[in-house]
This record gives sequence, structure tokens and C-alpha cells, in this order.
Amino acid sequence: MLNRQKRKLLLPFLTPALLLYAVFFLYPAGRTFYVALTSWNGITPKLPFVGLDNFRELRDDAIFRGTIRNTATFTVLGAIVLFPLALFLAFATSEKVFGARTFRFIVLAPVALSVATAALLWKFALNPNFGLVNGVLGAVNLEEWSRPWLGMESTAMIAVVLATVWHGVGIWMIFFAAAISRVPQEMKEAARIDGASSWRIFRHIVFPLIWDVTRILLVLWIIGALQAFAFIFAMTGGGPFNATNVFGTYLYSAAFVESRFGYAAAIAIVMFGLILCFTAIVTRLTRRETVQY
Amino acid sequence: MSRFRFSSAGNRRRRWSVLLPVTLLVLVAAVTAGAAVREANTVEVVTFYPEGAPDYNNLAAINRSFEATHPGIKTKTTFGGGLGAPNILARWRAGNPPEVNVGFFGTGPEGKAYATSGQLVDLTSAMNRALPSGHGYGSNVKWKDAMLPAVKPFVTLNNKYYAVPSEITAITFFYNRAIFKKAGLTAPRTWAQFLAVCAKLKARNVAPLTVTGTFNGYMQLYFDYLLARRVGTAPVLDAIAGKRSFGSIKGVAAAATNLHTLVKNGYILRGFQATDFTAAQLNFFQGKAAMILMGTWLEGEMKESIPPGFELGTFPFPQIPGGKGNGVVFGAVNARTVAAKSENPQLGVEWLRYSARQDIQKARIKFLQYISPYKGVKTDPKYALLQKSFEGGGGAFEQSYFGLFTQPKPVRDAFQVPIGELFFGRLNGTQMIKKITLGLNASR
Repeated sequence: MLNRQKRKLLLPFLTPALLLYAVFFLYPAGRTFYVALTSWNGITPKLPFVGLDNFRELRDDAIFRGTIRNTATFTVLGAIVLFPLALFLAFATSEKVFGARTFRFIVLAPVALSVATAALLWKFALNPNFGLVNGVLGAVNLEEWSRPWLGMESTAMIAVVLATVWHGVGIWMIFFAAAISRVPQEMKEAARIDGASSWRIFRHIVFPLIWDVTRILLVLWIIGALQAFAFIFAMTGGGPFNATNVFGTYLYSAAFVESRFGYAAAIAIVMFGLILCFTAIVTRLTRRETVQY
Repeated sequence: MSRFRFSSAGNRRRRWSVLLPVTLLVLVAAVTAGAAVREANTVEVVTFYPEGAPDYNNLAAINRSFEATHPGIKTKTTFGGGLGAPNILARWRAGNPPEVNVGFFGTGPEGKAYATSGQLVDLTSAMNRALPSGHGYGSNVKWKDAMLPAVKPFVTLNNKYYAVPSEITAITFFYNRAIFKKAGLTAPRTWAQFLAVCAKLKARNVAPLTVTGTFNGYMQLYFDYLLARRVGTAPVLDAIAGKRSFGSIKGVAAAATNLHTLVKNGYILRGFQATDFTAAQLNFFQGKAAMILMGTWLEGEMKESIPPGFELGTFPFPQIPGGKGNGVVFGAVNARTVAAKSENPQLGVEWLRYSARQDIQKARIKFLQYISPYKGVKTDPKYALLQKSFEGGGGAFEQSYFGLFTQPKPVRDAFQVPIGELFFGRLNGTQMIKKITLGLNASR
């Protein structure tokens, strides 16, 4: 009787959510798939059907292949810099030491800046002629080290990654700090009584216990990094010579600079597929037995 | 008892189960419909520059004046250039475009597509009507006849007007008079003199040139002029159109060598590779470099950043004795269009007609130091020569960048990227020509 009544209520209650899901996700997603099969330029009302031509062109597009490499570099380099740093900051500020909360606030502060502001701030700091970085290098007699950081293929991606990490590390630190705070204090104290150093406590107690959170954060980072756009667009626009051109910037350029919405939709679909694959692979590779505590 | 009164708990649930989806639907409908509802008496004008920029302020002033002379009509100024452009594009696609727009018409296929697909108001009949004598061009002067002859090809398609010119831009050299005076230099007229000026400036530890390395188009400007001076524009345009091989044009190798000389001799301000165009312009006005090859929009665009007392000089791109195109001036006509699907297209046309008034044009040109597309609107003396060439029909007026921004990306990249690579020191002149030739051949 109760189940029957519940079933009756199911549809009316689900309808609004399903409706919103259909309007705001399923329809645009389906439409994107269709647009990817056309050569629509975003201007004409007609969408000329071209089948899989856009995907064939993508296969032969050297710039697109470059964006795959660049996106992977951004993702891996970002993870290598971000995760140890965020973990270190989270672990350090979780200890009861003087000024830990203030320090945590300072690290977190850049998160409050919009991406555009943070990117412009770094762009100015790295400006070759009146930027802070080259200015400081000049002031300490290291002028020969100064260079157009965002204008060289060898340094542009590193500069963008560092700026991205600087902006976001605070929030990742908070995620890790929340996970670390769930690790039972007694376990850490027992280890300390047994003479374990902070590093050993981290390595053998804290890190294994927060592994589940770490792998989820890793997946989140990968998803976010594969969709990277704003920082790169504002700092380098994908240059120099496509050295920082990633999926997001290339897609934007195809759609809004070249007016090739069909091609941009094809990029979006490949990007969607790659994000799904990478997420599945990383989830699979990082799976371990869950530790209950 | 009303049929909408529910007495039991079950009825109340049923009522909510009906009301909730209906309310949501109504909300969604209201939100989406709201976007399309516009006031019938408003004309929305898009500006290329963001709020606070001198050009924006000038347009806002025109809007205020339009409102004052058109009782009951409201205006709205919207930023739609640069990063604001996608927003305007999205509105065009959604069928909710502003009335008066920047661009959306050009000589390339994309520009033509807006006109041929009926998305632009055909302005031909308005252009053939006489402007009111109060506009300042005399009595019985048609709108189209109030314009300089050189602008016509930029605003028409198949003899129909789809756009109205707002200003003419030309690419020319700007120089810092104070630096030149201090070094005892005068504006060069030939390429040899230009190189001598660069050498003298460098010897005094002044960077001769500043250019942006983040936008290939601005680096291309140098090569465009060198090509035009040496071989004229026709063979280059033919090569871009795929009608002949670029490398086979006699004189392109010499132009490439000329360009490479600037890079090889270190005449460009250090760090240009990561300097965007605003910063490059700022470098010039801060005295970090003595010259900049730029459009005549420079002064208006940087109005707020030019130090008081800065002495700005101009000179045409140096000539090459014996060259085939020493009179060529690269430039463009910035134009405004009216969206046919906008709420009040006729008001948009009226706004454009009003903004053509000679007093408005004079105020705009004086404030922004632009070159006016209208007759009788004198520009600053430093642009007098340029303006004169447009008055004569514009025979030597060629589209900036050889019109490459209206070409497909592979063609554009084939031409522009090797030029950028030469500036970055990755290619020499010969390698650049080879790469452009191969690239253009492959792109067709």
C-alpha cells in the first residue's frame, strides 16, 4: 500500500528534476553531438551536414595533436607540483604550531581572487619589461636569468602551471586538511611516543589513511585540468606558437575566432571522451583496499 | 466548496505534485522569455572598447546627445569588442542582437555571410536619401556622398550598403619626438635612413622598435609593408589567393632579408616575445622604445596612458628606392551594422544617420585622433597626408594584413606563423620564404 503510494508520488517529484536535466544537459549534449556532424559557422540558420568530416580533420590536425600533448603536460605537471605542495601545507598547518591558522589563511587568500584577476596579476609579474620577476632578478644582479617567461616555449607552460597552482593550492590544502583532521589523533600520538618522526607519521599513518580522499582529488584535478581554459587564455592565449594551446583554448578559438562551431563541437566531444577515459583509468589504477578507521 | 480546496493530506500531496512542476515550468518560461523582452523605444549600441575607454566614453556621449534630440528614445551602450565579442555573437545566434553593432560585415566570406543570409539591414535606401542640412554637409547631399570615396568598397556588397563607416584606420610609424630630438635624428624617409636611425638609437642604448610577440598580425605588418614597397600588393594577393607561388615573386627574398636585419641587429625591444599589444604600446609611451608601427587608433586607444607633454610624431613606412609600391598605405575601415533581427532596427539606422552629423564626427575625431570617413572633417595635421590619399579614391589604400583575417585559418597561419618565427629568431629570411611558400601551397 505504502509502496504504491510512493510510486504514485515518484513521477511528479522526479519530473521537475528530469525536466531540468533534459533541458539543461541532455538536449545541449545531444545538440552538440549533432553540431559536430555539421560545418555550421554559427551565423547561418542552416547546419550543413558533413558526417564525420570534422573528426577526420581532427585526426590530421597537427595543432590538435599538439593540444593533446600540452593538455597532458599541464595535467601531469600541475599534479606533480600541486599535490605534494597541498599535502605538505595541509599536514604542516594541521600540526598545533604557532601561526598555523594565519599561514593557512595566507595560502588560501589567492583563491578569493577571480581567475582573470589572478592570471592578469601573474601576467604583469612576468612581464619582461616592467614585471616583478625580472625586476627582482635584475635587482639581485641575476639579470642574465631574466627572460620573457610567457614568450618562450620552454618556460611558458611552466609559468602557467605555477600560476594555476599558486591560485588554487589553498583550496586543495583545505581538502587535504579536512581529510587529515579525520585521522585519529591517538594513532599519531602513539607513533610519536614510539619515536616516529613527523615524516614517518605522515608516510606510514596519515597518507595511507587519506588515500581515498587523495585519489578522488586526483580524479577531480584531472577533470579540471583537462578542461583548463581561463588561466591559459588570459596569460598566453595558447602561445607562443601553440606551446600552451590546450583543448579548452583550441576549442574556444575554433568556435569564437574561426566561427567553426561544427569543428569546435567535434573537439568538445573528443575532449568529453578523453576525460571519461582518463578518469576511468586513474580511478582503476589508484584503487586500493579501503582502510576503515 | 472550491474545486481547488484540498481537505486531506493526500490531496495536499497531490496538489503539490501538480503545482510544483507547473510552477517550475512557468519560472523557466518566464526566465527564458524575459531575455527576449526588450523595450520598444531603446537602441542598443555596441562599442569595441570597454567601459572607461575614451572610445566608449565618446559613444556614450553620442548616445546622450541622441536621447536629448530624440525625446522618448532610450539608448544603451554595450561593450562587444575583444573579450566581449563572444557575448554579442551568442546574442546574434539567439535571435536577440543589439541594434547597432561593431563589425559583422567585411570583405571576407564570414563578413559576407551576415549580409547574404539577411541578418543585416540593407542600408542602401537610407544611403540614397539626402541628409538633413543640419548635418553639416550642405543641402541635398546623400548620406553615401558625404563619405570619402575610399570607404565604399569596405561597406558595400554587390553595390548594396550593409555597413556605415565609423573611422578609417591606417598603419603608420609613430615615433617619440623627444627621443629623436635628443639623438639629433629626423623622421626617416627611406629604408636605408630607417636602418641608420635604428643603429644610432641602439648605439645610445635606446630600443628602436617595440612590437607585440603575442599577436602574429602586428609582426606581419612589417613584412606587409616591405613586400608592398618592393613588389607591390597584387602579386602577394595572388599568392595568398593560391594563384601563384609566393616564393616565385621576384623581390620577396629581399623583403625577407630586410625584415631579418631588424631582428638580427637587435632593433626590437627585449622581451617582445611575451609582450602583448597594450604592453607594447605602453612601452612606447613610457619611452622604452623610440618607434612603433601601429594603426592610427593608437592615440585614441592609449589616451589615458600617454604622459603629459609626450611629443608624438608619425612617418609613413620607409620607401625603398626603385620599389613597386612606395605609395601603398595599409589600413581598414571600421564599420557599424544594424542587425535585422534586433528589436528596433529602424532606430538603429536612425542612430547611425544621426552619428554621421559633421559636428559629431568632428568632436569624435578631435577627441580620439582618428581619421574620419566623412568629407570635411579634418584630422590632426600628422595624418593629413593619409587623409588626402583616402579623399582621392584610395587607389593605394590596401586592406591591413593583406586581408588575411578574412581568410581561413590554414592560409592565415601559413603566412603569419613563419613571420612570427623569424621575429623569434627561429628562422632566417630564406627559411621564412620557403615555409610561407610551402604553407600557402598546402593550404589550398
